[in-house]
Amino acid sequence: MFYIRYLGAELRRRKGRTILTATCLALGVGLVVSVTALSAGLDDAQSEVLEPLTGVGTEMSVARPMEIEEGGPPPDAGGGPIGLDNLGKAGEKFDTYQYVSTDTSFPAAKRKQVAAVDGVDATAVGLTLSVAHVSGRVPEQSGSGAAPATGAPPTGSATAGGPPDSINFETTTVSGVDTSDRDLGLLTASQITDGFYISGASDAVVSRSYATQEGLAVGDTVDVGGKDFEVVGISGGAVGGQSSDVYVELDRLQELADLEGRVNAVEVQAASADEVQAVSDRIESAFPGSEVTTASDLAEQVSGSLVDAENLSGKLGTALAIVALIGAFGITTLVTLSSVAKRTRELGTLKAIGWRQWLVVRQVAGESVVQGLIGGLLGVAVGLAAAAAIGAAGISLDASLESASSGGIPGPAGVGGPPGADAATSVASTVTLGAPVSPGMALLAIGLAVLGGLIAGVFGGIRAARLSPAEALRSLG
Amino acid sequence: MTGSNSNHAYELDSVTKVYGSGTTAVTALEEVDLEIASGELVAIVGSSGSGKSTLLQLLGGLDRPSAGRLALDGLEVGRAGDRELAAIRLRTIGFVFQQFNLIPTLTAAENVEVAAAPLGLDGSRLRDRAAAMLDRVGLADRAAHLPAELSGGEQQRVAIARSLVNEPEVLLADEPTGNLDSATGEQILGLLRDLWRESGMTIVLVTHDPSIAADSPRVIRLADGRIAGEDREPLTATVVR
Repeated sequence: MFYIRYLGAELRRRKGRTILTATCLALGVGLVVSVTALSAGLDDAQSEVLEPLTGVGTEMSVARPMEIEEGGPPPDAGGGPIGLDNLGKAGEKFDTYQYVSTDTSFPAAKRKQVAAVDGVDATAVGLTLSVAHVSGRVPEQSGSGAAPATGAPPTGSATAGGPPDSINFETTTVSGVDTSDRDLGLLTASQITDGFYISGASDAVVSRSYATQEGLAVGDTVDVGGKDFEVVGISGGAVGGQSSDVYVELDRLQELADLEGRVNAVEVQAASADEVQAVSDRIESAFPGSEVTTASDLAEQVSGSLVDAENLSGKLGTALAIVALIGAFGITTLVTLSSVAKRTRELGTLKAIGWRQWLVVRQVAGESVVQGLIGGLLGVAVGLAAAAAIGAAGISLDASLESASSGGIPGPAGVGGPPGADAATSVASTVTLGAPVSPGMALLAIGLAVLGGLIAGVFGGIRAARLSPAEALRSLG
Repeated sequence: MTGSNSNHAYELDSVTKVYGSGTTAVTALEEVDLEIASGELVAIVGSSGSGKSTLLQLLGGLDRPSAGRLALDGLEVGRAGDRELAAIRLRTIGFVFQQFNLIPTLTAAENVEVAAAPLGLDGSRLRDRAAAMLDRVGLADRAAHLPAELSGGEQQRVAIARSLVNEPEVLLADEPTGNLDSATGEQILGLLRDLWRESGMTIVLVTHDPSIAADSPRVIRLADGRIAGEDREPLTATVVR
């Protein structure tokens, strides 16, 4: 078709204009692709951070947070001051374990109540506790004293001014795992990076950070509540809410903490990812006092350079991309208008020899749209190059998430500290930033560039349409 | 729209053309009465600003008269819409410009094709037609060259081929030799005269060159937008044939 040959000749033989227009659009579109890819990379990074938190297939975690009133924890909160009088006489050795949590425990049978909620596909129960190992010699005291169970120094005149040197505190977060379903729960098989999943009453899995801290490896033993467990596996990359230092069978932890039949978390898998929020609301209604944490709730709690980068990408990056795109569209339009002005004689001649107005407009707009298409393709190439550069740079971002270990067991009377005082943990993770470019994103970018060409073509076409052939020829003598 | 005389390609009755309005109004043509018979070769001469180019634009349907009546083959140009005028320019009129007005990015053949493209011919017929026209003006071997690669005379031949590709009834030439040396100009005029004799089309030449006018069977002299005189030798292409 002649018009296409004409269009091709214009683009081929007016290289400067074609290159300038396509380059402007390519830069604008390339920036949009880069920013969008960066944003997708940051989303992926956040998902990577949250994935171990939510577990495979787990979208929600149900717990019953403990209400802490002014003046100290409720009597059934677990923890509270450790009465030194209960530890023995001054100078005597003591060695005790306290189990505390910020969440109230409830019967494991509650799982059925949650499972019956419309939209719930699967459930698994779990128990997470902070195990405080307090040992040493009972200090001399002038009055009644107490030692907090969870890491704070014991109170009492003998300890005024600091913890007595004779008392040691070690706190470990331990989760009891329902091992009947390895794909759902506080620890899933997919989280095991070394060794094996828990398969026996004396098996334990430790988190990678805890293993590093304590120098543990598969085959070593770890002490939980005074009992030795064999480390059979290491869980990697665990960050956030339900992350624990040590994982053992649920029955074993219940037995150790004297909490037979009780749990403090139900992990829930929704039937449909689209229904997570609705299911969450229904569970909270069906289970009074419960609090459901979803992946999106957790996402809001993530902090660190990952979040800073996301904010930067979300605000500055998007604004920059929009400005660049508008700028590219504007320059393209100006170049097209300038081209129409320079081609006044040519376009006037076309009209003089019988080209109807719409044919002239179509020709001008067509050239501009094809330039947009070229610009779009170049822009995608620029974006892909930028995305590859981001990936190759291997930028590391850190993410941390404030989490509270679950639990909720009444401690022995007079023993225990404020629950949650050190049960609240901040878990950090480092992720490498990528910038994936999806085919949809590439098509969208090309579409934007073509749109830019079309806008320029419409303005150019209108200008060409307004040309009177007589005036066009007369003005050029 | 009227068709008072089928032998007349053009009928102009008190045609006036004014550019601008109010105090800035400029009258380019005033009360021009003119008839041009089908098959005539007419030279319009006059000094710069005499209105000859304006008259040619009105004859070519590039513009409309401000007053008076101008009919082309009975169709009143002043009342025709833009689409109608475009159709007349496409099928009935061929233009040759002083500056050639070729499209610089298209080859000689494509510059001829560009005039016939709106007719909707298929690609091969379009190319055949353009090739035949280039052959007719003696440029068959230069078909693939861009205008910048052609001499002035060759470019004007391409422009003439373009003006003829739709087999128009009227050919309007605005200073067709104005940008050429005298020898090349003579060749172009010879070509136009040959075409006139062979085709019997109406040709209107605008020129300021008295020698060109002297060789034309009819010469209309314009001065200050009015017809100042006319030399008529009642020869037409039909008579010559």
